[in-house]
Amino acid sequence: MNKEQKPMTTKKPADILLASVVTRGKGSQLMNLLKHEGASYAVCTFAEGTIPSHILNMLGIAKTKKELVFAFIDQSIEAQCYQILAKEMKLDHPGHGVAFSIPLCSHPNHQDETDLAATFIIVDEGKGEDVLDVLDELGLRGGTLINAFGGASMTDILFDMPIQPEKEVIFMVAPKEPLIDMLGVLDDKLDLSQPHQGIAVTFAISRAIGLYSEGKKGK
Amino acid sequence: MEKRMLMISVPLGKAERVVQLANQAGARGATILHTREALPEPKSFQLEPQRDLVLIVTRVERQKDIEESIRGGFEQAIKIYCVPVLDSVGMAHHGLQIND
Repeated sequence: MNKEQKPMTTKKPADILLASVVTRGKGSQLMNLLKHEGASYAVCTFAEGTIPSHILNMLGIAKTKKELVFAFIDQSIEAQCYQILAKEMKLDHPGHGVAFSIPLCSHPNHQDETDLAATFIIVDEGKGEDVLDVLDELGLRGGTLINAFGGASMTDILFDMPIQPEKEVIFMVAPKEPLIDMLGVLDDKLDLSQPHQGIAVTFAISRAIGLYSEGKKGK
Repeated sequence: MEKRMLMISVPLGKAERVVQLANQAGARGATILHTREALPEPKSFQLEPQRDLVLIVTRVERQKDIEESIRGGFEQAIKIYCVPVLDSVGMAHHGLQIND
């Protein structure tokens, strides 16, 4: 049965956040495939990949254009979604992107975890590079950079125009232990415990595809 | 202390209202991502409505109040997803500390 003939699956309540980083231009295709498979909701935003390469650094094109897809799925369709990510997005090959599952609060076993974790580090615009430098020193590489807006001081008004501070979000997957240690280092180096300096949060991961370390296949 | 991250998806331009409602219920900040949404059934020409995705990290005790405040402030149904937080830093001024 081909894709056109396959009936739309009945949507089930979501208990997994499937986050996928794919090449720019493939976000819409992935959203449609996941929705077709039965994802209850999917959104996509532009992002930049930051996997370091000495050659690309010398050429000044170290950042690669990516898209980040957040899909909310039921655990019963998780395996099919990973098949799509491997077959259609080629995430089982290096350099095509990464995807991972974060159990939501509604997940019956959201305590079931792997030894991996994801982190969101939210800082003012321009500080993203400082965060990446700190992560690089800790051996944590390959984050995804997203442009965002702050909401804490949205009530600031200048000449009748609301001021919306620009932010940068660094999104990364790594082994849990160094990621938890990273929070303390970030706090020391970027004073995150001071108000309005930014926040960093980590999440447990239940499954991942496309993680590679130094060119070797990861989990 | 247990923490949660709320992910709230609203039509473009409604994020400010979400942040106001969340702050009234005890939230201390939010981050907004501009996103686009997949349509229920893809058409031959692609139309993808833009959405604001609001991220709010909060203590678990405040989560219900924030969700109710946001849902109560909109006539249409609002999609709110909740992600359990493993650990965090930078929320001391929210009354939260690392490894609370």
